[in-house]
Amino acid sequence: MTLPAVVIGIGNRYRRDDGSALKVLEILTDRVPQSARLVESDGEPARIIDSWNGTDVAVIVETVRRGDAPGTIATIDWDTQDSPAGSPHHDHGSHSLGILEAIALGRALERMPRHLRLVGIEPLDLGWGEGLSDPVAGSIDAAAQLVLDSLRSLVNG
Amino acid sequence: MTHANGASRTLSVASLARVEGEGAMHVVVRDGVVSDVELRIFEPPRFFEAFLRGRAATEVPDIAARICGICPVAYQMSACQAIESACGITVDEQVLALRRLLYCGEWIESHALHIYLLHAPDFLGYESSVALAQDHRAIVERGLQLKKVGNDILTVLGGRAIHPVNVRVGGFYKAPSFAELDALTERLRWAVDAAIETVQWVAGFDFPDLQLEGDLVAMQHEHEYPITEGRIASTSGLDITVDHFPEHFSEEHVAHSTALHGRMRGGGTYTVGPLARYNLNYDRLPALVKELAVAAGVARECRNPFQSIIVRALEVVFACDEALRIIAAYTPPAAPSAEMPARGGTGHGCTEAPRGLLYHRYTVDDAGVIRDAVIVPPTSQNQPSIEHGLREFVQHRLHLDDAELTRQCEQAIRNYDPCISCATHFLDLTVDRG
Repeated sequence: MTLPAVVIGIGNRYRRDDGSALKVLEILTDRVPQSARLVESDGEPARIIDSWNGTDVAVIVETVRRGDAPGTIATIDWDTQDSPAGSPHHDHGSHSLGILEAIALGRALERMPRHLRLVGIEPLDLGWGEGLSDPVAGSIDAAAQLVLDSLRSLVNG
Repeated sequence: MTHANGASRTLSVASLARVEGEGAMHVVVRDGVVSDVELRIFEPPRFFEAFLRGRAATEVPDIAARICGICPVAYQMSACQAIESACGITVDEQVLALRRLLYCGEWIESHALHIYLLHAPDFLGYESSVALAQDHRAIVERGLQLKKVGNDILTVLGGRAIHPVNVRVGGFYKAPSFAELDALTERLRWAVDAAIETVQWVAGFDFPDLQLEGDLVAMQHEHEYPITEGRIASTSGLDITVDHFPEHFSEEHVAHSTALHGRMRGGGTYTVGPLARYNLNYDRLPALVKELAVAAGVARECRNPFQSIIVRALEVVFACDEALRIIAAYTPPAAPSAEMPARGGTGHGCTEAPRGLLYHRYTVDDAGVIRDAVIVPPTSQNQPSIEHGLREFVQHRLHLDDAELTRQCEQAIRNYDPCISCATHFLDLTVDRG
């Protein structure tokens, strides 16, 4: 059954703060409204498109590096602009597959949700291992609340 | 990317596009001769092997699934097999059939992703799958739907499409009913037709001339096209059981990559993956796939890496057909899983990941704790072969300008579908604060 909203958490729990989105999903498990479902993602674009397929609202939680203080939370609404607020660097790692490609491909195939919001969390440590750094761990509750607020405003918006 | 003078130049691609993970390429030309080719892979430096030591053997399938988002089943299956071998566990025939079915799902998903989103744009002159989708929406949709059929198998059997949670040492936590599997039948029948159309589509591409040299290594099975069971064989006549892998293959550190490089002991580079499987196991393919292979012009033998896209498409037909066969013959096992005895030992596991041979070895103590772990993924085995092939490839294309030569090199690397797993998934954004 397709629900009107989906929350997609993208990350890798074995790369420290890259697991922040998955932690947000964990604490949202019993808190999201019944009209929304939670999806864990490794960032593969076709699966992301499948995850939001047929939904009205998609909120994506992901680690985002913008040069802000670690733990800073940023939101970007993709449905209100043609391109994201900035562009991906190609000298810092794996961006050949990911959310930007999912959005571009979703647009080309006309398979986009009506509202698409990114909730990004600035990382401190992307090295190998489990567990979040203190500033990122300290932002998880706020990020989860922001997701809930987003669902509330966007689903009815 | 920089130009040097005359016949000397250096090509560098800091971040390879359309490969899964993080990688870079560095080619040096001196006086008209390719002097150095390095594929720089930023693979996890044995993180998972160290991480698994001290963990309960029963935890390994869940942890191993996280090594790669694209082929979690492969890591789970090789891991389970190795631990079951170490602990003397015999797995029920129907459970083995379910594992093969789960693996078919992963082959379908992984190959469809590579064919449609990563590789096909190269042959059709598009810079990305997005550009391809803008001009050929129906074709890309077919690829995504085909991929989703693989996803659906993983969801039914694995509990979810990424990092399956239903797999355990000895089998599954829960075996599906016949009705649950049969619900996949209609979609799989569509998938067989879509996969056949895929073969016919990619067979019409133009392929540069290139012959893969050296040994091809894959599993071989008496009756089946190999996925989860068999011996390890090579085109030069190697034929060993899985537990003899360490005696014949080694891994070496190289300065330019955190991934180890695979070598045959006393020999040279070798290649694993679809071409190796196909060349060593053509006779095990069903008649339908052989007929398509003949029509596509790659019957029995194919050593052109660019034509690996045809072989992947043939393997998708096979995997869809095989999934239908397994479902039709399925009766639920008496128990979804064999019990794990309190017995330790060292065990070896080997299966055919979409990208090729994936070997695991574990030493488990009598308390069921992992004491040692060795994981040899396909991409590290192929890395020397990719570099060797690139050296020849570039040497014959030095007349091209840097941009075109770089593009063709990237395409040549993508022939191998390198999976440089475990990359982070963060997004770099530059912000114009005006």
